[in-house]
Amino acid sequence: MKTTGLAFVDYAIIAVYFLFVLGVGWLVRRSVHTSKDFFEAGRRTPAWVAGLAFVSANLGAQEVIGMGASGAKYGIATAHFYWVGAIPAMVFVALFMMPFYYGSRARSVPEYLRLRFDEKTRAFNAGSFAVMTVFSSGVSMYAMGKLFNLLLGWDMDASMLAAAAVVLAYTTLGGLTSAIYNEVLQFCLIVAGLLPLVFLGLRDVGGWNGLTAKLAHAATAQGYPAGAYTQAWRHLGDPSQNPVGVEWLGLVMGLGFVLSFGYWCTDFLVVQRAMAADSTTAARRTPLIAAVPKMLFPALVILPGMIAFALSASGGALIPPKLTAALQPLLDAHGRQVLDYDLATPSMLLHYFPNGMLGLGLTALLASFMSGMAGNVTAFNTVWTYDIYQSYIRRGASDAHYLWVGRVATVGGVLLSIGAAYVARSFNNIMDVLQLVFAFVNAPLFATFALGMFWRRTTGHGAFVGLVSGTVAAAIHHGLTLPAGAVPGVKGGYFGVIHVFPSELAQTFWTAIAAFTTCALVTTLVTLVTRPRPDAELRGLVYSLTPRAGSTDSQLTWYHRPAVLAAFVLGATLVLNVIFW
Amino acid sequence: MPLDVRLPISGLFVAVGLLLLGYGAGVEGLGTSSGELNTIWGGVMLIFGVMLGYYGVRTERRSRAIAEGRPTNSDLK
Repeated sequence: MKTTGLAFVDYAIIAVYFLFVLGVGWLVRRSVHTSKDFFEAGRRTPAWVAGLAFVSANLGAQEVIGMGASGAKYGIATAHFYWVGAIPAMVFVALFMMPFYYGSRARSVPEYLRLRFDEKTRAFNAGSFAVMTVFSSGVSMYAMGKLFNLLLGWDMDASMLAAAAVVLAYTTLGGLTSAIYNEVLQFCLIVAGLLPLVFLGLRDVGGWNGLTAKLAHAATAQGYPAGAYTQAWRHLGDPSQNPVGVEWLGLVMGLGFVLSFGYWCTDFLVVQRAMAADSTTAARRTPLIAAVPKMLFPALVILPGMIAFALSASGGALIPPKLTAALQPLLDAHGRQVLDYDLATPSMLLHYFPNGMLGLGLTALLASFMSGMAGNVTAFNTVWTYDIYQSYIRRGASDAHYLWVGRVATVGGVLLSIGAAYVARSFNNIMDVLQLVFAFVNAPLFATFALGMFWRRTTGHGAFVGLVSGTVAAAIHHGLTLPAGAVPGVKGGYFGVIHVFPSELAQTFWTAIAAFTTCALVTTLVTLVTRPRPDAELRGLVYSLTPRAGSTDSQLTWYHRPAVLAAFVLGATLVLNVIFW
Repeated sequence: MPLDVRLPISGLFVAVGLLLLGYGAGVEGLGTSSGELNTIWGGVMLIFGVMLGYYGVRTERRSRAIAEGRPTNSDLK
């Protein structure tokens, strides 16, 4: 891999970026007087700002680096994570779920669960979510430190701690408002840092046609059809005919329905941004505005990985090999070198960007890490303060006290994240574990929400037992299956192997389907034998007992109406799927 | 909101744009491909930053006028 030293201008760009994000925190702190200001951004954020923050909080380092890696490994099929695995769920949460989240005046997703079901369901969700955010933030921090160490030889501890200190400073000062402002700024910087990379890479490989030709050669060399890396749907009839190793049903049900809806509709990290909007209509428009850049992101984050792989496959050796513990290149069963796909996008930066632009590209990576971390930390401090501290440790304290607790929780969240980063350091495949934890937690949670919002008979006992059963079902499914080539252990098979999936993704999708189905069935059965709450207690919390949010939409300009935006987003996504069919 | 979010983004883009432009045109020189790349992209970022700043300042002035009960430009037309 090419190594490049940084020049003064690169350090200057990074320093200017740090100065601006800290400056935003400093300016915003003047408007933070109450806990509502700190945790909910005062519920006065315009829809377009909340929309960009919504998408940016999800655009962490794992997204930028991970999607580049998947682009190199699976090709354009990675775009399914956006066009199938994000856009439909974002439209659903906007049109059908935001009216409940926003209209119920719940301050967090776990608090909505308490209002709709009961205390134990809220406690289960608050606890699992708090642990997930800390681990997610820590793993992201570790990934960033490792990346900068590999690329530039920077000290891993120093780069992790410096970036964490900046995030801590601006989130403690300005809370959610500061995080949202910086997420919008970071979003713009990530686009500015990656866009020229896509342009230079495409120009180098001869445009889309040149890339298709190069990847066709790589695909046939590996026994796939020529279009396996550049056609998103055509080869999904048979898992052995595409590099992802899944068939269309597993993809649509596992990713497009369960995992996607589980994440976008119930994860407080993203929902919190929409709940900070200045009205119900703005909250409904937030995910729809976010969906517009989201559907175009494959060009920004997946294409660099595909270009890196195409150049490597045609002899360019752009992506370095993965190394063993003895620092020797890792070989697969056929004796071929296994590439370190995580370095696909960073290698592209080093390959194409001279000093100056390199500083901008590295700042974009830093920004993606920091926006993801700030998203996790602000969601953690809210859930900790409202759903754990205020509910179980100290009720009835003054607002100033909870504001203080929120700031302390921010410091605690960052310190725990640093601890989690050091835990991640001692495990080879903590990323896989984390992905799996998401499948265990989010997939059954979506069944709980779907039943709770759209079937008013659903009871608290049903929801709680269903959630626990769904999580246990995920563990059983995972414990009885393995991805091809893996050994029993953290990748599954710890109860015995009754089925082998072609890839880890296929195994994760079907684990999520098992968790969702079990949760839905058990919740339904337990609900039928337990006493439902009276309708009067459920007004504003379930679909059939809530006035339609769209009834006032006719007073809005046509292009501000959520239904029109949703139709545009779905139509444009359909067109993208057809183009890359 | 405490301030228009376009203003800090504008400031950052102008600052980074000027750094790239100055480094590309001044230090590396326009005859080199790296100098050209830094200059062109620095220019693009600078223009974007200035445009964003213009709209940010305009919106900020209008909201301040509305808050203080003064007529805005659109009221005077």
